[in-house]
Amino acid sequence: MRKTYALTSVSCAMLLALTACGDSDEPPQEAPQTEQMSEDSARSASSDGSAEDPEQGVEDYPANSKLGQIQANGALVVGTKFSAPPFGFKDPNSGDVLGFMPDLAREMADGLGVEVTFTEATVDNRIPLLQEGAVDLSIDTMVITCERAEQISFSEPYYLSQARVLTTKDSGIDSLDGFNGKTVATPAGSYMIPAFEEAAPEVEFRFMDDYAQMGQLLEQGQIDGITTDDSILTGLIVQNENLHMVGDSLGEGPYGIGVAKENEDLLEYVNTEMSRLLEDGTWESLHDEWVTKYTGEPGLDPRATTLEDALAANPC
Amino acid sequence: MRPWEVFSTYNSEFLDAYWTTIKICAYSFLVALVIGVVVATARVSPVRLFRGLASMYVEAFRNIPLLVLIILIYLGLGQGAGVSIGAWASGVAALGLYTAAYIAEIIRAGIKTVTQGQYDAGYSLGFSPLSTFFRIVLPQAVRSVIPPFASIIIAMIKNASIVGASLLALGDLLYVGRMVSADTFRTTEAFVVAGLGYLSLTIGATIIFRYAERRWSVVR
Repeated sequence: MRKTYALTSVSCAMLLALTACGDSDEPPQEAPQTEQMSEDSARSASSDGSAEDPEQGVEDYPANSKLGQIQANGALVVGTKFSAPPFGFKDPNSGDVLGFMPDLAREMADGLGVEVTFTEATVDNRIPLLQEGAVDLSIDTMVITCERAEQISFSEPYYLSQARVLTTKDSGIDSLDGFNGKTVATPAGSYMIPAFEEAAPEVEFRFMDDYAQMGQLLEQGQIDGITTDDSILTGLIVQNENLHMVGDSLGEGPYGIGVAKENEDLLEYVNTEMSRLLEDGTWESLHDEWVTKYTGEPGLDPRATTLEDALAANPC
Repeated sequence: MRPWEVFSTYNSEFLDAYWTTIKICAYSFLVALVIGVVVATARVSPVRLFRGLASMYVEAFRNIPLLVLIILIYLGLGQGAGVSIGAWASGVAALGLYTAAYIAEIIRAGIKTVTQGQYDAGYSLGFSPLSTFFRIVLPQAVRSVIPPFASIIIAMIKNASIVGASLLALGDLLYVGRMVSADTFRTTEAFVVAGLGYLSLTIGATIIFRYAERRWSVVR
């Protein structure tokens, strides 16, 4: 059932490039939208239980702290992707926000005994939303960079994105050097191009911007591969299971959860919760459920990189 | 970095791109000219079916954005009909068919300016209706519409950038401008070079058409 949802959502998201989605009250990405999760629609059963009974195992935070305010509001407001399946997407039928990142957010809200309210985060609005206080957290495939860290605070990495190559299962290509003499699509200026050229000197790049179009060209055999972050490539696999990722990683981008600079208590809470989710296996089971299901590959433990390493790797 | 430094670093890429833009324009021009004349002829044909088909053609190709045509021809043909004609043929077909719709209208306007007396003169000299049209009316029609014809050809040269830099990725001036901009972060400089490339082509076309106008234009 969920797969059907995911597929509809993907094709809908892909169509946004050409036309607005059928859902008339859902304008394309420019307008951020907010979706209150109803109790039934929240996927994890435990969140309902704890939301109804905040006394049980939930610490009460002082009213003047950010965490206390969130508890007083009864909701954690989270910015996430609405069109990046399976990492974060809005089910066009039910209106629920689903995916790996929304589920991590639900886990965080459970610990505070509150519900989650999702707001669509885009590349352009995610930092302003945090700075204006319109969202408490942003879990939206945001790579930790030094420039961004000057404007907002980042949690420790919650996902290590890798630059990979997507090809069809019947292409017969199973390593990077198999792309010698082949055509690979990517946006102009992609950071993995030098590493790719080193592994496959004869590879020919075609620069384009629209991943849905690239996916279709790959399907039709007009190109041989697509290279970009695995989070985007996984979205293309969701749409077409005849695609898979091959070859080694061509570079890493650690994703961090964004928090407004002044909310230090919230940042600390997010980091504590994240290490709990990593230790008790919740992170892994969510990753398996949403990502490994499509890629067939286990998730890289994000603890392999720290926030400090991530910032040092990308100095301003 | 100045524009000429960007150019001197990437001159072979830019020259290839310049040549690619010229090729896109040349092929599309041939397609547009041939189809444009055929459609214009059909639009003034005494046969109602031809007139209807030609007018459908014009409305379809003039009223759909070029980028949509490109995507439909390149991806849509492959998906719908199972035939992929490749990036180059798709680009030339899209730009050629699109421009042909405009050329057909321009030539039709020219045909309308040729007076009935020209037809009558042709018939009285023993020309058949068809050869009267092609040998007497059409040459005069074309000569009277050189200025609007020049405008659409200049538009076509600029539209070649949409073809080359779209998902077709043919490597034209705009495409290479974007690539160089992404490589060097010298966006303005890269696009100044690309812009000058287009300018030289459009000014070249302007000069040719101005000469043609002086040489052949009929003033009524």
